[in-house]
Amino acid sequence: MIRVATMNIATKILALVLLCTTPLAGFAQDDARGADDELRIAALEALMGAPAERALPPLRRVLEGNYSNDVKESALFVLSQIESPEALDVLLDFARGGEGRLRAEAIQVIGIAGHDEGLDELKDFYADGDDNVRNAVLEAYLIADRPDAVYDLALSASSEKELARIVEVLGAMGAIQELRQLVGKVDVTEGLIEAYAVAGDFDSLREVARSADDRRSRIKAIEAMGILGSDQAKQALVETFRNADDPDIQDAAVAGMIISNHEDGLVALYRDTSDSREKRLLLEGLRAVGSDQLWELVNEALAEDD
Amino acid sequence: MTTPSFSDDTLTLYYYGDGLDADERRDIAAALADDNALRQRFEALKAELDALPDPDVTPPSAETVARWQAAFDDAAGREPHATAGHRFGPFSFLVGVAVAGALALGIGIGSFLDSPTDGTLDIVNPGPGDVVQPAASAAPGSFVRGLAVHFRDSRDELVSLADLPVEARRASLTGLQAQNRLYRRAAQGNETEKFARVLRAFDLVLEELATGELSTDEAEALRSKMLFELDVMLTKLRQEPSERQDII
Repeated sequence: MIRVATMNIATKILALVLLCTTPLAGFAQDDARGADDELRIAALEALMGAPAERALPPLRRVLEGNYSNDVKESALFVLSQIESPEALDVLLDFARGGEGRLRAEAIQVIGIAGHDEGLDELKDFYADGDDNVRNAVLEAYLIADRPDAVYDLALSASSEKELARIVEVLGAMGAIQELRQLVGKVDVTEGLIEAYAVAGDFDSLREVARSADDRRSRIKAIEAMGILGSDQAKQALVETFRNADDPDIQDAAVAGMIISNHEDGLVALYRDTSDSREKRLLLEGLRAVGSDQLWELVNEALAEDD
Repeated sequence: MTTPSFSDDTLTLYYYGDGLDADERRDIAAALADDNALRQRFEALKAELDALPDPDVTPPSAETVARWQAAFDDAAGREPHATAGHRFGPFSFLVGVAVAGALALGIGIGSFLDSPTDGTLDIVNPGPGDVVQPAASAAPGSFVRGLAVHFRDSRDELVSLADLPVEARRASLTGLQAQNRLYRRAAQGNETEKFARVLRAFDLVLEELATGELSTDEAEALRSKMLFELDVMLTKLRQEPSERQDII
């Protein structure tokens, strides 16, 4: 079959290219791409056209050899696209034994490959790893869309900083169910509130705004509703302002309306209130959103004083 | 020299990263960088588009989906088969754009979009009885072709990125991110999940490039890395069962 024969020749040529351009041991490989690296990377790209059993040996050789980081990173990505258990084995071996930037890259690439076996092992890397490894594991789970695995890491977080990073990732994944499950299991933190907002979880934000023990969390949740930008959130902010006795709560509601650019809500509240403090606060909000209606309201206020 | 004017329709296509070729996108990016009034109009338009509620998407009948699939396959079938190094012609580009455009407008893609109760948008594929798939593990042909167009467009944008002024570069990256998110959402689930993972990885890279906080060397290294990965994915797409030519 012509196509298979062509692949065999092409694979042999590619292997020859890599073999002939293998960097000499003992010479340092800096990160700037030279012509040899460009050729090697082009050869790696062409390996995508080869069957897995023919592509794996040169890829393994690159990872084990004295090649630059750029070339090894390219090999890692190609491996992620070879859908075979042997390719995953090569990736896992490299991730276990690697270090620094390349180890983080290998971990992230395991996320791209998406094999359950590889993803399961990442939790061990997380447990034993430094901040770079942990960030790489979180990114791998984000790429592989595994909010369940990220949730498990949240439950065992040992510091507020670590928990903040984890809930940030859950927010970015839109993992509303997992974020809700954290309530009662971890402290309500600013990071958790922001994650609710990023994930678009109005119900959780409303719950925190109504009933969190910590007043600061309630204020933060009200402000964060502005990030949602939905009509439901905008209406909630207007109602919160109307019903609040606490000036700080009203400040937070106005902040939320500024974030969501809810000009109409600010105008309606301004017209409804006769309290001068509230009017001043709402005028500041209208100025912050660059409202065209501001000048009409200013003129009205000045006309009343005439 | 006066800045050319662009209609709201054109700016909308630019925002969604859809329906414009690389030259048109570059012209708009350059105009946005130079023209304050245009940039303000664009920001106002973006705010309006972002405020649009997600449409209620009701999954169409299996017959409708099959007709839709057949229409795309028929349209794409008029183009010569893609081979190594062959660039997609304008008509097959339009097929990919039509896929992206339909996704953006949320019409006729009920088989790929659903509205779950938690308020997030999720992607579901049609059930086993609804649409004929070429193989259990093969991505739909129209999706693969659309994705190839997206990867090629992304490649073109990244290649030209270094030549653009800062504001135009930022606008170009914003467009790339929006388009990538669109395809990532369409790819989530089942046969196309493997592509969704790559698109999520690309999301992270584009986000990092868009921060503007990288040094010139770091940004260049990241750009080169993504160009390589796009080339790998284009090769991989040509091997998809729905795209593979018969062995002779």
